[in-house]
Amino acid sequence: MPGNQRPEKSVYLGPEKFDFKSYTPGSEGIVGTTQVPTTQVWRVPTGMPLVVALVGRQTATVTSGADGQTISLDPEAPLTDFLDDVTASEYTEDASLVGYFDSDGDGDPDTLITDSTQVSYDGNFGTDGDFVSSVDVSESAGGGDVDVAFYATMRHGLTKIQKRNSGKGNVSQELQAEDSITWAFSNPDAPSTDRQITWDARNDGLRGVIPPKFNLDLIFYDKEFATAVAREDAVNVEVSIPVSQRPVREDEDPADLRRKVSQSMVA
Amino acid sequence: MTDETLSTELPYADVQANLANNPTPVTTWDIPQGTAITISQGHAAILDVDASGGGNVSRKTRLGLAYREPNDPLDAWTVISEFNIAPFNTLSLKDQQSGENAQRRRVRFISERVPEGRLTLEDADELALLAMGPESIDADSLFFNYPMQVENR
Repeated sequence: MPGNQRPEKSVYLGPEKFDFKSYTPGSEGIVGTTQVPTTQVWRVPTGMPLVVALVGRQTATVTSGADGQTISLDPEAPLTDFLDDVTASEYTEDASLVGYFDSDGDGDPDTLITDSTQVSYDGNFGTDGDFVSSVDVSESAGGGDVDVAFYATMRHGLTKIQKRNSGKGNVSQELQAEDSITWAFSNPDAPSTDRQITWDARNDGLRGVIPPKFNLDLIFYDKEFATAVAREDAVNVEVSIPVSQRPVREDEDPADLRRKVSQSMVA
Repeated sequence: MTDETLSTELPYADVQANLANNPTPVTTWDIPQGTAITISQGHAAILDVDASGGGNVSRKTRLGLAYREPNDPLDAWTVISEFNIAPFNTLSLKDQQSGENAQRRRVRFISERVPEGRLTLEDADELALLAMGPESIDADSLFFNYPMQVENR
């Protein structure tokens, strides 16, 4: 069987596939982009569950030698089902709330906070329903105040997925839009609840076709709070977007396909 | 027509505090030019709000969806649906994402005012979430979400 006759297969677009960008609050902006490989065509598998959890960053200062200093979080951090839970002592880089401290005094908080580090959790967390509202930390070295940074799943704003033509014209079409909080509290592994967010059925047909070299973007909007997805410490960004991928057929011309899809997007 | 969400997070949503003991808007949506939105009854609303001093708002608080057409008097909101705060106080935002306990959160329209159970609002119309209660709300804590359909004209 020649390579280009291969059938469709499912591909999951994870955070490693996306090129993340910084964001300024107040207007809608692209915060993540990935591109369809030049030899492949993507199609939206309607009904498949989606995961998108962007993160925001907030900073604080821990007093030298502090014993159980309470740091209030603003905005509060959602306890996301599909990520590790700090309040259950899961102090990993994948948790819905991840803290870093500045271990070497270079002004960049980049060392993970656990229960046994220089700046450490003492296990007390203030919660407000399904949100973490404050964190208690202690500082053991006593050599001066320490900067800390927390990365929490976005609670505010809207997060959308769009497809975008590359090059001239730059037409885009929205494929899915939800509140960030709905994304955060979705549960991709529990089909019996309707907390799953699935690919919208309207993406059936030509609307769900993403030709070679098209972009798939994550769009974010909030008046006040920014995402921090572009920062290298923001490893708890969680994205898992399923697409069906197949090679371009022998009798297909990628340019024709792009033109056809672009025209349908303008309407 | 596309399915979208009427939400306090939308760029054209204006969130504000209400006046205690007066039915006043806590969110207004000014329908953008060239679009029309349609809301229909029967879906579950998702809502979270704190009182201005923190904590849950009083159980006496009533909430409602209302619209205003261009040139209507400033205070003349036509209320199309009224509901109670209680189920939203009891359920966390996370639990509200699940449809299992949605019965008391389903929005019903007043049938004399919205005959078909569907309301379409056009350019220059305004839609609002009104609150009437003994205390004012904390506008920063308000989150509201309801399915809608958007059409570009």
